[in-house]
Amino acid sequence: MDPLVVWGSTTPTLVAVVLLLAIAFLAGSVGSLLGLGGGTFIVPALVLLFGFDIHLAVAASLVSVVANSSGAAASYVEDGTTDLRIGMFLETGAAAGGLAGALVAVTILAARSELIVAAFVPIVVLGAVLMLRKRLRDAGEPERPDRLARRLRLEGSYYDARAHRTVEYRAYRTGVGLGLSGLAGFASGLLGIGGGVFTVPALNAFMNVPIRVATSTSMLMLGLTASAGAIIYLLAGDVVLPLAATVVLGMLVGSFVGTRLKPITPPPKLKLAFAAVLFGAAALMALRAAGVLS
Amino acid sequence: MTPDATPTDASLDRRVAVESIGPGSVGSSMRRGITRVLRLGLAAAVVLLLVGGILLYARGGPGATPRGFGSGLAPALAQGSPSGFLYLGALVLLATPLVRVALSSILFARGRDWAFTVITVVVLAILLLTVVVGSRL
Repeated sequence: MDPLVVWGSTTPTLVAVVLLLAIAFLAGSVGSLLGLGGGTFIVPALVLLFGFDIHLAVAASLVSVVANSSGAAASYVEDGTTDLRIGMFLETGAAAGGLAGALVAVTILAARSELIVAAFVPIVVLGAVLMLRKRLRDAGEPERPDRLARRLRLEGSYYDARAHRTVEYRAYRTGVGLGLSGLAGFASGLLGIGGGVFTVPALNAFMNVPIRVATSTSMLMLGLTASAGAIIYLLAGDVVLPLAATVVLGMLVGSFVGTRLKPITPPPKLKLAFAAVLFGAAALMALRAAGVLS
Repeated sequence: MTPDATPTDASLDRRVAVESIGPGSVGSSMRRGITRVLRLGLAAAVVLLLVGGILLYARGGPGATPRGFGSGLAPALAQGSPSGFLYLGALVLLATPLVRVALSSILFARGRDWAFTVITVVVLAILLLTVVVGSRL
Protein backbone atom coordinates (compact mmCIF):
# COMPACT_ATOMS: atom_id res chain seq x y z
CA MET A 1 0.00 0.00 0.00
CA ASP A 2 1.23 3.47 -0.80
CA PRO A 3 2.21 5.02 2.52
CA LEU A 4 1.40 8.49 1.23
CA VAL A 5 -2.21 7.41 0.81
CA VAL A 6 -2.24 5.91 4.29
CA TRP A 7 -0.79 8.93 6.06
CA GLY A 8 -1.25 11.82 3.70
CA SER A 9 -4.68 12.00 2.21
CA THR A 10 -6.78 9.43 4.05
CA THR A 11 -7.05 8.44 7.69
CA PRO A 12 -4.40 5.88 8.72
CA THR A 13 -5.57 2.61 10.25
CA LEU A 14 -5.64 2.43 14.03
CA VAL A 15 -3.22 -0.51 14.04
CA ALA A 16 -0.68 1.49 12.03
CA VAL A 17 -0.98 4.45 14.39
CA VAL A 18 -0.57 2.31 17.52
CA LEU A 19 2.40 0.43 16.05
CA LEU A 20 4.10 3.67 15.05
CA LEU A 21 3.43 5.26 18.45
CA ALA A 22 5.02 2.22 20.15
CA ILE A 23 8.10 2.31 17.91
CA ALA A 24 8.45 6.07 18.38
CA PHE A 25 8.13 5.60 22.14
CA LEU A 26 10.95 3.02 22.17
CA ALA A 27 13.09 5.15 19.85
CA GLY A 28 12.53 8.22 22.04
CA SER A 29 13.45 6.44 25.28
CA VAL A 30 16.62 4.79 23.95
CA GLY A 31 17.49 7.96 22.03
CA SER A 32 17.30 10.22 25.08
CA LEU A 33 19.07 7.71 27.31
CA LEU A 34 22.05 7.57 24.93
CA GLY A 35 22.03 11.17 23.67
CA LEU A 36 21.40 9.92 20.13
CA GLY A 37 17.89 11.17 19.62
CA GLY A 38 15.24 8.79 18.38
CA GLY A 39 15.82 9.51 14.68
CA THR A 40 18.50 6.85 14.37
CA PHE A 41 15.78 4.23 14.94
CA ILE A 42 12.75 5.97 13.46
CA VAL A 43 14.30 6.41 10.01
CA PRO A 44 15.03 2.66 9.52
CA ALA A 45 11.59 1.81 11.01
CA LEU A 46 9.71 4.14 8.64
CA VAL A 47 11.67 2.90 5.63
CA LEU A 48 11.77 -0.83 6.43
CA LEU A 49 8.48 -1.42 8.28
CA PHE A 50 6.19 1.20 6.79
CA GLY A 51 7.69 1.44 3.31
CA PHE A 52 8.15 5.21 3.25
CA ASP A 53 10.53 6.84 0.83
CA ILE A 54 13.65 7.86 2.76
CA HIS A 55 13.08 11.57 2.05
CA LEU A 56 9.71 11.48 3.81
CA ALA A 57 11.13 9.32 6.61
CA VAL A 58 14.01 11.78 7.14
CA ALA A 59 11.67 14.79 7.14
CA ALA A 60 9.25 13.29 9.70
CA SER A 61 12.15 12.05 11.80
CA LEU A 62 13.82 15.48 11.99
CA VAL A 63 10.61 17.10 13.25
CA SER A 64 10.21 14.40 15.90
CA VAL A 65 13.85 14.66 16.96
CA VAL A 66 13.24 18.30 17.89
CA ALA A 67 10.43 17.16 20.24
CA ASN A 68 12.62 14.37 21.59
CA SER A 69 15.37 16.90 22.26
CA SER A 70 13.18 19.58 23.85
CA GLY A 71 11.58 17.02 26.16
CA ALA A 72 14.83 15.39 27.26
CA ALA A 73 16.96 18.53 27.29
CA ALA A 74 14.51 20.36 29.57
CA SER A 75 15.22 17.71 32.22
CA TYR A 76 18.94 17.48 31.53
CA VAL A 77 19.44 21.25 31.61
CA GLU A 78 17.52 21.41 34.86
CA ASP A 79 19.44 18.58 36.56
CA GLY A 80 22.77 20.23 35.69
CA THR A 81 24.21 17.48 33.48
CA THR A 82 24.04 19.60 30.30
CA ASP A 83 27.13 21.72 29.64
CA LEU A 84 25.55 24.79 28.07
CA ARG A 85 28.85 26.46 27.16
CA ILE A 86 30.40 23.48 25.38
CA GLY A 87 27.05 22.68 23.77
CA MET A 88 26.46 26.16 22.40
CA PHE A 89 30.04 26.42 21.17
CA LEU A 90 29.66 23.17 19.18
CA GLU A 91 26.23 24.24 17.90
CA THR A 92 27.90 26.74 15.55
CA GLY A 93 29.30 23.79 13.57
CA ALA A 94 26.27 21.57 14.01
CA ALA A 95 23.74 24.16 12.81
CA ALA A 96 25.79 24.98 9.70
CA GLY A 97 26.16 21.27 8.96
CA GLY A 98 22.43 20.72 9.45
CA LEU A 99 21.60 23.39 6.91
CA ALA A 100 24.11 21.96 4.41
CA GLY A 101 22.97 18.34 4.84
CA ALA A 102 19.29 19.13 4.36
CA LEU A 103 20.03 21.30 1.33
CA VAL A 104 22.03 18.51 -0.32
CA ALA A 105 19.20 16.05 0.40
CA VAL A 106 16.37 18.18 -1.03
CA THR A 107 18.29 19.44 -4.06
CA ILE A 108 21.19 17.28 -5.37
CA LEU A 109 19.91 14.00 -3.92
CA ALA A 110 16.18 14.76 -4.32
CA ALA A 111 15.70 11.88 -6.76
CA ARG A 112 18.44 9.63 -5.38
CA SER A 113 16.82 7.91 -2.41
CA GLU A 114 18.99 4.81 -2.74
CA LEU A 115 22.15 6.90 -2.22
CA ILE A 116 20.77 8.25 1.07
CA VAL A 117 19.84 4.73 2.25
CA ALA A 118 23.35 3.58 1.36
CA ALA A 119 24.98 6.57 3.12
CA PHE A 120 23.14 5.74 6.34
CA VAL A 121 25.23 2.60 6.90
CA PRO A 122 28.85 3.86 6.85
CA ILE A 123 27.93 7.08 8.69
CA VAL A 124 26.23 5.29 11.57
CA VAL A 125 28.96 2.64 11.76
CA LEU A 126 31.57 5.41 11.90
CA GLY A 127 29.77 6.93 14.88
CA ALA A 128 29.81 3.58 16.71
CA VAL A 129 33.52 3.06 15.98
CA LEU A 130 34.42 6.58 17.18
CA MET A 131 32.48 5.95 20.37
CA LEU A 132 34.49 2.81 21.16
CA ARG A 133 37.77 4.64 20.70
CA LYS A 134 37.97 5.95 24.27
CA ARG A 135 37.44 2.51 25.76
CA LEU A 136 40.61 1.28 24.05
CA ARG A 137 42.85 3.94 25.55
CA ASP A 138 41.20 5.12 28.71
CA ALA A 139 44.53 6.14 30.24
CA GLY A 140 43.70 9.72 31.15
CA GLU A 141 44.60 12.94 29.40
CA PRO A 142 48.25 13.98 29.30
CA GLU A 143 47.65 17.00 27.06
CA ARG A 144 46.68 20.47 28.16
CA PRO A 145 43.37 21.87 26.92
CA ASP A 146 43.99 23.90 23.78
CA ARG A 147 43.98 27.70 23.68
CA LEU A 148 40.40 28.01 22.52
CA ALA A 149 39.12 25.73 25.29
CA ARG A 150 40.96 27.82 27.88
CA ARG A 151 39.86 31.10 26.30
CA LEU A 152 36.19 30.02 26.29
CA ARG A 153 36.49 28.29 29.68
CA LEU A 154 35.11 25.02 28.35
CA GLU A 155 35.06 23.21 31.66
CA GLY A 156 32.54 22.41 34.31
CA SER A 157 31.32 19.99 36.91
CA TYR A 158 28.25 17.92 37.58
CA TYR A 159 26.90 15.98 40.50
CA ASP A 160 27.00 12.24 39.91
CA ALA A 161 23.90 10.97 41.71
CA ARG A 162 25.02 7.33 41.52
CA ALA A 163 28.50 7.86 42.96
CA HIS A 164 27.39 10.70 45.29
CA ARG A 165 30.18 13.01 44.25
CA THR A 166 30.86 16.04 42.12
CA VAL A 167 32.84 15.27 38.97
CA GLU A 168 34.95 18.01 37.38
CA TYR A 169 36.05 17.97 33.78
CA ARG A 170 37.76 20.09 31.14
CA ALA A 171 37.29 19.99 27.38
CA TYR A 172 40.20 19.05 25.11
CA ARG A 173 40.61 19.09 21.32
CA THR A 174 37.97 21.73 20.57
CA GLY A 175 38.94 21.75 16.87
CA VAL A 176 38.17 18.05 16.45
CA GLY A 177 34.97 18.52 18.45
CA LEU A 178 33.83 21.38 16.23
CA GLY A 179 34.66 19.46 13.06
CA LEU A 180 32.77 16.38 14.22
CA SER A 181 29.82 18.59 15.19
CA GLY A 182 29.74 19.95 11.65
CA LEU A 183 29.74 16.37 10.38
CA ALA A 184 27.00 15.55 12.89
CA GLY A 185 24.86 18.38 11.53
CA PHE A 186 25.45 17.29 7.95
CA ALA A 187 24.58 13.66 8.74
CA SER A 188 21.51 14.89 10.60
CA GLY A 189 20.18 16.97 7.72
CA LEU A 190 20.90 14.21 5.22
CA LEU A 191 19.74 11.19 7.22
CA GLY A 192 17.24 12.67 9.70
CA ILE A 193 19.07 11.22 12.69
CA GLY A 194 19.71 14.38 14.70
CA GLY A 195 23.48 14.10 14.85
CA GLY A 196 23.94 12.44 18.25
CA VAL A 197 25.75 9.71 16.39
CA PHE A 198 28.75 12.07 16.14
CA THR A 199 28.20 14.64 18.88
CA VAL A 200 28.33 12.05 21.68
CA PRO A 201 31.65 10.54 20.45
CA ALA A 202 32.96 14.07 19.79
CA LEU A 203 32.19 15.17 23.34
CA ASN A 204 33.12 11.96 25.13
CA ALA A 205 35.80 10.15 23.14
CA PHE A 206 37.58 13.24 21.78
CA MET A 207 36.86 16.21 24.03
CA ASN A 208 37.04 14.11 27.21
CA VAL A 209 33.67 15.19 28.60
CA PRO A 210 32.14 12.54 30.92
CA ILE A 211 29.62 10.31 29.16
CA ARG A 212 26.69 11.52 31.27
CA VAL A 213 27.40 15.16 30.42
CA ALA A 214 28.15 14.21 26.80
CA THR A 215 24.77 12.51 26.30
CA SER A 216 22.84 15.34 28.01
CA THR A 217 24.68 18.03 26.06
CA SER A 218 24.10 16.11 22.84
CA MET A 219 20.36 15.98 23.57
CA LEU A 220 20.26 19.79 23.79
CA MET A 221 22.37 20.26 20.65
CA LEU A 222 20.46 17.89 18.43
CA GLY A 223 17.19 19.76 18.83
CA LEU A 224 18.83 22.74 17.20
CA THR A 225 20.64 20.66 14.59
CA ALA A 226 17.46 18.77 13.68
CA SER A 227 15.49 22.01 13.61
CA ALA A 228 17.91 23.52 11.07
CA GLY A 229 17.30 20.52 8.81
CA ALA A 230 13.58 20.18 9.53
CA ILE A 231 12.86 23.80 8.56
CA ILE A 232 14.24 23.08 5.07
CA TYR A 233 12.07 19.95 4.71
CA LEU A 234 8.95 21.64 6.12
CA LEU A 235 9.25 24.61 3.78
CA ALA A 236 9.96 22.24 0.87
CA GLY A 237 6.67 20.48 1.64
CA ASP A 238 8.33 17.13 2.43
CA VAL A 239 6.92 16.75 5.95
CA VAL A 240 3.90 14.41 6.00
CA LEU A 241 2.20 16.20 8.88
CA PRO A 242 -0.02 13.44 10.37
CA LEU A 243 2.95 11.07 10.24
CA ALA A 244 5.28 13.58 11.89
CA ALA A 245 2.69 14.38 14.59
CA THR A 246 2.30 10.69 15.46
CA VAL A 247 6.06 10.16 15.73
CA VAL A 248 6.44 13.38 17.75
CA LEU A 249 3.90 12.24 20.37
CA GLY A 250 5.39 8.74 20.74
CA MET A 251 8.92 10.04 20.94
CA LEU A 252 8.06 12.72 23.44
CA VAL A 253 6.61 10.20 25.90
CA GLY A 254 9.69 8.07 25.26
CA SER A 255 11.97 10.98 26.17
CA PHE A 256 10.39 11.19 29.63
CA VAL A 257 11.24 7.53 30.22
CA GLY A 258 14.78 7.85 28.85
CA THR A 259 15.61 10.81 31.09
CA ARG A 260 14.39 8.86 34.16
CA LEU A 261 16.56 5.87 33.26
CA LYS A 262 19.78 7.78 32.66
CA PRO A 263 20.77 8.73 36.24
CA ILE A 264 20.53 5.07 37.29
CA THR A 265 22.39 3.59 34.32
CA PRO A 266 26.12 2.91 34.86
CA PRO A 267 28.29 4.93 32.42
CA PRO A 268 30.17 1.95 30.87
CA LYS A 269 26.85 0.43 29.93
CA LEU A 270 25.81 3.71 28.30
CA LYS A 271 28.87 3.60 26.04
CA LEU A 272 28.49 -0.05 25.06
CA ALA A 273 24.76 0.35 24.47
CA PHE A 274 25.50 3.38 22.29
CA ALA A 275 27.80 1.42 20.00
CA ALA A 276 25.55 -1.68 20.01
CA VAL A 277 22.33 0.09 18.96
CA LEU A 278 24.19 1.97 16.22
CA PHE A 279 25.58 -1.27 14.78
CA GLY A 280 22.06 -2.72 14.93
CA ALA A 281 20.44 0.21 13.10
CA ALA A 282 23.23 0.21 10.51
CA ALA A 283 22.89 -3.55 9.95
CA LEU A 284 19.16 -3.22 9.19
CA MET A 285 19.73 -0.42 6.71
CA ALA A 286 22.63 -2.37 5.14
CA LEU A 287 20.24 -5.26 4.46
CA ARG A 288 17.90 -2.81 2.79
CA ALA A 289 20.66 -1.21 0.73
CA ALA A 290 21.86 -4.67 -0.35
CA GLY A 291 18.34 -5.50 -1.48
CA VAL A 292 17.74 -8.26 1.11
CA LEU A 293 14.93 -6.28 2.75
CA SER A 294 12.55 -4.51 0.44
CA MET B 1 17.39 -0.18 42.20
CA THR B 2 19.83 1.97 44.14
CA PRO B 3 18.58 4.07 47.06
CA ASP B 4 19.56 7.30 45.30
CA ALA B 5 16.74 6.75 42.83
CA THR B 6 14.10 7.81 45.33
CA PRO B 7 12.37 11.10 44.51
CA THR B 8 13.57 12.86 47.67
CA ASP B 9 17.22 12.12 46.88
CA ALA B 10 16.76 13.03 43.25
CA SER B 11 15.47 16.48 44.11
CA LEU B 12 18.32 16.93 46.58
CA ASP B 13 20.83 15.91 43.89
CA ARG B 14 19.21 18.37 41.53
CA ARG B 15 19.66 21.21 44.01
CA VAL B 16 23.27 20.26 44.67
CA ALA B 17 23.92 20.07 40.94
CA VAL B 18 22.64 23.59 40.35
CA GLU B 19 24.64 25.01 43.22
CA SER B 20 27.85 23.19 42.32
CA ILE B 21 28.25 24.99 39.01
CA GLY B 22 31.60 26.64 39.36
CA PRO B 23 33.43 29.25 37.29
CA GLY B 24 33.32 28.52 33.56
CA SER B 25 29.78 27.32 33.69
CA VAL B 26 26.64 29.36 33.32
CA GLY B 27 24.36 30.50 36.06
CA SER B 28 21.19 28.88 37.23
CA SER B 29 19.06 31.69 35.73
CA MET B 30 20.04 30.52 32.26
CA ARG B 31 19.29 26.91 33.15
CA ARG B 32 15.87 27.91 34.45
CA GLY B 33 15.14 30.10 31.43
CA ILE B 34 16.13 27.43 28.91
CA THR B 35 14.17 24.74 30.72
CA ARG B 36 11.12 26.97 30.72
CA VAL B 37 11.39 27.88 27.02
CA LEU B 38 11.79 24.22 26.04
CA ARG B 39 8.82 23.07 28.14
CA LEU B 40 6.53 25.92 27.00
CA GLY B 41 7.37 25.49 23.32
CA LEU B 42 6.88 21.76 23.58
CA ALA B 43 3.56 22.07 25.41
CA ALA B 44 2.19 24.56 22.87
CA ALA B 45 3.32 22.38 19.95
CA VAL B 46 1.84 19.22 21.46
CA VAL B 47 -1.54 20.91 22.06
CA LEU B 48 -1.63 22.12 18.43
CA LEU B 49 -0.58 18.70 17.08
CA LEU B 50 -3.21 16.95 19.21
CA VAL B 51 -5.92 19.35 18.04
CA GLY B 52 -4.83 18.73 14.45
CA GLY B 53 -4.79 14.97 14.98
CA ILE B 54 -8.25 14.92 16.55
CA LEU B 55 -9.64 17.13 13.76
CA LEU B 56 -8.04 14.80 11.22
CA TYR B 57 -9.96 11.85 12.64
CA ALA B 58 -13.18 13.84 13.05
CA ARG B 59 -13.12 15.20 9.51
CA GLY B 60 -11.52 12.21 7.81
CA GLY B 61 -9.23 14.34 5.65
CA PRO B 62 -6.29 16.74 5.98
CA GLY B 63 -8.10 19.84 4.65
CA ALA B 64 -6.26 22.87 3.28
CA THR B 65 -2.50 22.49 3.79
CA PRO B 66 -0.44 25.65 4.31
CA ARG B 67 2.76 25.85 2.29
CA GLY B 68 6.06 27.61 2.73
CA PHE B 69 6.60 29.98 5.58
CA GLY B 70 3.11 30.23 6.99
CA SER B 71 1.38 31.41 3.81
CA GLY B 72 -2.18 30.21 3.82
CA LEU B 73 -1.87 29.42 7.51
CA ALA B 74 -4.48 31.88 8.82
CA PRO B 75 -7.22 30.81 6.35
CA ALA B 76 -6.46 27.13 7.05
CA LEU B 77 -6.80 27.72 10.80
CA ALA B 78 -9.97 29.75 10.32
CA GLN B 79 -11.50 26.86 8.36
CA GLY B 80 -10.52 24.49 11.14
CA SER B 81 -8.30 22.59 8.70
CA PRO B 82 -6.52 19.68 10.44
CA SER B 83 -3.35 20.32 8.42
CA GLY B 84 -3.41 23.97 9.45
CA PHE B 85 -3.11 23.01 13.12
CA LEU B 86 -0.52 20.31 12.40
CA TYR B 87 1.53 22.79 10.38
CA LEU B 88 1.40 25.45 13.06
CA GLY B 89 2.31 22.83 15.69
CA ALA B 90 5.35 21.83 13.62
CA LEU B 91 6.37 25.50 13.21
CA VAL B 92 6.13 26.14 16.96
CA LEU B 93 8.11 22.96 17.65
CA LEU B 94 10.87 23.92 15.20
CA ALA B 95 11.01 27.51 16.47
CA THR B 96 11.60 26.41 20.07
CA PRO B 97 15.37 25.77 19.74
CA LEU B 98 15.66 29.12 17.95
CA VAL B 99 13.99 30.95 20.83
CA ARG B 100 16.23 29.05 23.25
CA VAL B 101 19.36 30.31 21.45
CA ALA B 102 17.99 33.88 21.32
CA LEU B 103 17.34 33.78 25.06
CA SER B 104 20.86 32.47 25.70
CA SER B 105 22.47 35.28 23.74
CA ILE B 106 20.48 37.85 25.70
CA LEU B 107 21.51 36.25 28.99
CA PHE B 108 25.16 35.91 27.93
CA ALA B 109 25.16 39.60 26.91
CA ARG B 110 23.59 40.56 30.21
CA GLY B 111 26.33 38.60 32.00
CA ARG B 112 28.94 40.43 29.87
CA ASP B 113 30.20 37.13 28.47
CA TRP B 114 30.99 38.58 25.05
CA ALA B 115 32.62 35.50 23.55
CA PHE B 116 29.48 33.48 24.14
CA THR B 117 27.22 36.33 23.10
CA VAL B 118 28.98 36.26 19.73
CA ILE B 119 28.84 32.43 19.54
CA THR B 120 25.09 32.32 20.18
CA VAL B 121 24.45 35.19 17.76
CA VAL B 122 26.37 33.25 15.09
CA VAL B 123 24.19 30.18 15.75
CA LEU B 124 21.09 32.36 15.54
CA ALA B 125 22.31 33.86 12.24
CA ILE B 126 22.81 30.36 10.78
CA LEU B 127 19.27 29.41 11.80
CA LEU B 128 17.79 32.57 10.29
CA LEU B 129 19.79 31.88 7.12
CA THR B 130 18.21 28.39 7.11
CA VAL B 131 14.74 29.93 7.24
CA VAL B 132 15.58 32.33 4.39
CA VAL B 133 17.17 29.61 2.23
CA GLY B 134 14.33 27.19 2.98
CA SER B 135 11.62 29.67 2.00
CA ARG B 136 13.32 30.31 -1.37
CA LEU B 137 13.56 26.67 -2.44
